[in-house]
Amino acid sequence: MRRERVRPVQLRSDRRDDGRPASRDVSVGLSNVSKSYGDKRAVIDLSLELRYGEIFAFLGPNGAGKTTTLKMTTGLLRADTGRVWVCGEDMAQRGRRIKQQIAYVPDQPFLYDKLTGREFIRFAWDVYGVPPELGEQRLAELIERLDMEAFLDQLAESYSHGMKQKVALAAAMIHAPRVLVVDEPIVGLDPRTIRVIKTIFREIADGGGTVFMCTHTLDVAEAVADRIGIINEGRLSALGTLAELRALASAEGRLEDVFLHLTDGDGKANGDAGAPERGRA
Amino acid sequence: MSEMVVDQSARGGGLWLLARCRAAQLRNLVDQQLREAPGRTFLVLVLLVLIWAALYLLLSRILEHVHGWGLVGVVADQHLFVHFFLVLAVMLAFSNAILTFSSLYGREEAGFLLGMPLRAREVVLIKWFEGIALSSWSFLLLGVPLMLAVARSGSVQWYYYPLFLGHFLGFVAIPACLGLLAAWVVAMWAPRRPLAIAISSGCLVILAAVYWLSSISETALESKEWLQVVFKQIGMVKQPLFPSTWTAKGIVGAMRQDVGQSLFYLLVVLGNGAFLSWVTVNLLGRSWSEAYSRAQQGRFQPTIRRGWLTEAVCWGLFFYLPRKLRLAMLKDLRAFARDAKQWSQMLIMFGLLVIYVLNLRRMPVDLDNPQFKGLVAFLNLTTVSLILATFTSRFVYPLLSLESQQLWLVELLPIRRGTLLLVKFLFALTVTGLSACAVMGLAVRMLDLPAAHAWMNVSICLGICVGLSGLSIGLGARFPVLNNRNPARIASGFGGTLNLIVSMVFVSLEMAGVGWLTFNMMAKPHAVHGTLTTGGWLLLPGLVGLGGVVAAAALWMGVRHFERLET
Repeated sequence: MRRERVRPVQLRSDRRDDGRPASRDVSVGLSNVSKSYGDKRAVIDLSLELRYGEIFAFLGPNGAGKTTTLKMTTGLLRADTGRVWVCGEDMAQRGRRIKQQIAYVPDQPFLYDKLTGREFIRFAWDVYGVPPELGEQRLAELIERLDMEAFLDQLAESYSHGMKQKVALAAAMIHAPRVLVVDEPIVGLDPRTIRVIKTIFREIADGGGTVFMCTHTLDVAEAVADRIGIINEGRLSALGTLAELRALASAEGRLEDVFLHLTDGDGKANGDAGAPERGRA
Repeated sequence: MSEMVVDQSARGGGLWLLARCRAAQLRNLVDQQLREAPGRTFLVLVLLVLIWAALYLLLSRILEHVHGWGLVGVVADQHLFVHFFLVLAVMLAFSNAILTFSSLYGREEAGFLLGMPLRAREVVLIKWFEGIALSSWSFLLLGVPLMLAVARSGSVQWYYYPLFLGHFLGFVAIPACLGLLAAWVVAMWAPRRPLAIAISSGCLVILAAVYWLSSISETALESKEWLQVVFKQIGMVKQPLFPSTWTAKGIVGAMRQDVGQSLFYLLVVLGNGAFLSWVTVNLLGRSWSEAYSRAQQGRFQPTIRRGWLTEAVCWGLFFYLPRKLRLAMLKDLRAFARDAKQWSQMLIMFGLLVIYVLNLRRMPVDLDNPQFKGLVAFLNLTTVSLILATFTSRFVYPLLSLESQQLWLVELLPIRRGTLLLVKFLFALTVTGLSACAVMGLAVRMLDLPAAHAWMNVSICLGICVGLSGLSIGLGARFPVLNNRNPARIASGFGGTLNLIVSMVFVSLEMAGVGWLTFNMMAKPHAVHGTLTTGGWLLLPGLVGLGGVVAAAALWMGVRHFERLET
């Protein structure tokens, strides 16, 4: 039986001639972005728009280009081609101004070993310009919600991965960013904290912000994401809500089934518009 | 929309915030050291003071000796300073380049700072300050003893001290900037193998220095004629456009009470240092994002390693072991070979020893005199042993602790924990034994020691290798540091410090015995023909065996603890 070609589902949005999203509702726009590492093409002609008020989950096999896309969004890497727009500004031109409004939490959170968690978060809020009174108030809330009281005044070199993750998330959220970019946000966290993180993401989105997250934990993406993008071998394979992806893959059931169907189960692209059709034996 | 609160006044204070962050880290580090390891902190300070004092005495003696040559000595002053500052510049530039590459273009802190709304210039400026601070440390350790030694060897005025300080600190900004620029160049245009480039460059510089040293060491040392030959050879580094030349002239001017000359060159150094700093900070600041991106690109192009060479070496070196133990050995050998920070330090340590040994014949002592020969042989063995003690404490002690995160995997292997320790011991013994015995063998050959004396040195060296390897592995198992991937931190903990102290005591005991043997050999005329006394023949096996006893005891203690360790 021949497998039908699966075309990526795109939300309509108008674009200006320079590729900049015309709609004010677009918080993150990637326009024909590509990035290579030598001979390896990590991201190929990626175009993507995220909106304010949504949680966007970015899925893909290992080495698909997820982290590279996130790093280009946050200005850590420069795209070889294409443009990246965040909060209405070009990352290449207004990087520092954009970074004032966003936050990035990598998969391996960085903390200064010789600072306590509290000192690290205070440093973050100082850099983002949060007034100390407001910062203390927000920190108190985050300490309670993320259960950090027991270790926050110890040096970060003694932290486990989960502790570092909590502190890094708290430091990222302390200035209430408009766009929160997170790579594997729940690795190393206990179930209670995962529930809290999901709630906080929802609150950010409901408050008009955007959460752009990469995750391998499909349960989390299924539970919280408003829209899901699947990247495979550098190209966007599929994009849409869970229901739309199910329809795309002609697969009912969980996101895992949809994901495996769309990525062919062995990491090979199954829906890229430019790829040749595949026949089944 | 999420609430966003921005305090405009905080935006311009990025430099202040970064400085405050650094200060907080330093404060916490000092507080931690004083609370958790006061003894070790005190010991480090004492050793630093001793090193400082030893440098001061050594420099005083050198300057007194040189000034004793009259007019030649007067000329030598400037050449001495030119070379001192040139070598210092090279060392500081290298160290700054390596540190800057990691902190500005590495993955962790650099990525964190780049993701924050900080001005790139401010971040680079902080790194520049850190480079200056690191370089200024050389002033405390080297500059102050030199300043005082010069003052002691001649008559200086009060203004000599502030001028010296000004020259030294003004000078160190230049290699700091050169280091930053070198890191930037590597990040922009050669990001794939930055550490390999640094090590290759360092080795090239050392080889060039060795070749130059050999070429000027044709005549016997400690003669005016040699000094004149040297002046002719080294005149090429006394270029008028080199900062080392300006600093040397400035300091010599201060020494000779020529304030005008000293101030003139001070302004030249400060002016050029300031301009270079301005160029460096602005250039790196403007291109930080681009350079970081390129450096990350280099990291994602890893070299494919097949590992056939390490496998062949392992099979050759450890042919006597069963296959499954050789496989466990292969893992450690590959980890060692692929960690440039480890083998490069070992290469430098033993490379310098080899250079020293090859130049033994050019030393200003009568090596045909058996007493001097014996004394030099004793000092050689002492040096090798102390270096071994440092090496095993730094690199061998952490071996077992580094397994702690995958101990569950190791335990699934069909070998006992005690056997694992034995494998690590044999690995450490083979690497240290081959290196140390090769150096000692070369040393005894260069000294042309009598056979018995030569075999005594080499066999005791081997015994010391056995003892030190056993101590480091045994104590590493008795006091493991779990869940820490940083070998330097593991080695600097309580167990590592204890291991270092015990190793030094062991080496001291061995050298006391060797000293007694050597003294007895030199005291008796028949010792010229290389025969040991009766007492020597009795003591020698004891000294060699002491290494075995120490290793066995330490390994036994380590195995007992390690086999009961819960993971």
